[in-house]
Amino acid sequence: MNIRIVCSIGMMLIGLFLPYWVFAILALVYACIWTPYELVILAVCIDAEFGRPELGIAYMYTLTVGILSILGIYIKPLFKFYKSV
Amino acid sequence: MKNFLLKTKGNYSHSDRNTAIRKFAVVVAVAFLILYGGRGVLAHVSAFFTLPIYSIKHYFEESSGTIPVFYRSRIDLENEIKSLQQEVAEQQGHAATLAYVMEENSELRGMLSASTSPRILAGVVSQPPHTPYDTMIIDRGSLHGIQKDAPVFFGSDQAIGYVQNVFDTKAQVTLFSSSGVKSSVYILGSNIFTTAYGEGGGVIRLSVPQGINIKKDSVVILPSLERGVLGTIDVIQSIATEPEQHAYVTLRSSLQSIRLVSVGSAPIMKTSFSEAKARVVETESSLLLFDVPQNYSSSSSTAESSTPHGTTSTSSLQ
Repeated sequence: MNIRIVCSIGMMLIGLFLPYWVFAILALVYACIWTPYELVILAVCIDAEFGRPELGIAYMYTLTVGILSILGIYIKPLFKFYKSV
Repeated sequence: MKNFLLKTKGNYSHSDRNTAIRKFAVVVAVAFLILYGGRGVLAHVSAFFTLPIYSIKHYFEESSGTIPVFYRSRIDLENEIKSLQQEVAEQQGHAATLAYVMEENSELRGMLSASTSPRILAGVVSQPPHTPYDTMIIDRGSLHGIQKDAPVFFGSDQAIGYVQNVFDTKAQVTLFSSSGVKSSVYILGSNIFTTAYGEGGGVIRLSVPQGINIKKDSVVILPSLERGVLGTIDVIQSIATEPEQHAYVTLRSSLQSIRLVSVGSAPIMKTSFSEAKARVVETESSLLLFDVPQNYSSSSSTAESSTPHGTTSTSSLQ
């Protein structure tokens, strides 16, 4: 749980300060480990604060997190060679 | 096996995954709706949390406090070190290029200004041991004026072989050191004509009767060529019970390092003994000449009028 909190904070800083593609890749990795509800909240906040509807780029982070997270959840079982009991 | 299959991914419930995806898709859809409907409110809420983060960032980037200044100066120093390292690397590259160009320039000058007869400059495409039969391939051919049996020189006067086959844009050179090649040579110092046998790999063997004094580092010349120096004697092998002693001549620089050669414009002609003797004298005297640098031209012009050895090799030959 602690690792998840630290990673969430890390993702927040990455989303705010690092390039978009870094955030996208790490979001996919995050989604392969946990169901990324917090990333959705983060992405919505970023889009709300920094998105520019007049330029048509108002939903980029939310859309990215949504698609990559669903992809992550979908491929997650492929990385599980043994089912945890 | 059954136990293994039960534990593998094949046992994973697809319905669990689909449920999770459906749940998450609903969350994302709700998030979109919130974003679409309450962007303004959400932006304010978000700014409440992001403002401290950006304030800290701004503090480190702009503040004149001790910690930010230390942080920034350290970053600046690291960037400066990186840029200086890059600059040093570029300068080293330039210096290497300059040295290469200067060396090539002197090499070309030496090749083209050393002879009274014009020469054709050629690049070496391949040389021993990467060619069969100890031959050399050059990148000039009949289209550039290369003729069969023309002598091939390295540097100003180092004769290394002759053109064996000429093609349109390339030529094949047989080296004097190729196995089976025989040539008449003259050993300076010992003052004797003898026959040189190619041994391969840039080595030439001279056979001299016992009793004749031959010395190491003696210059061996090819009288059949105009100013053709074959090399210097490196090793002398003399066994008292044998009728001949052997001297081995190698090129001044290794075959593998030769990149440019000059080819004589005329083929090697049959030489009479009297012509050979005359050329020996000519070659012997030319060994005493040297290039005088351009910045000594005023003194050399004085020397030209007084002593013949003060001139450049080019001017003296012409």
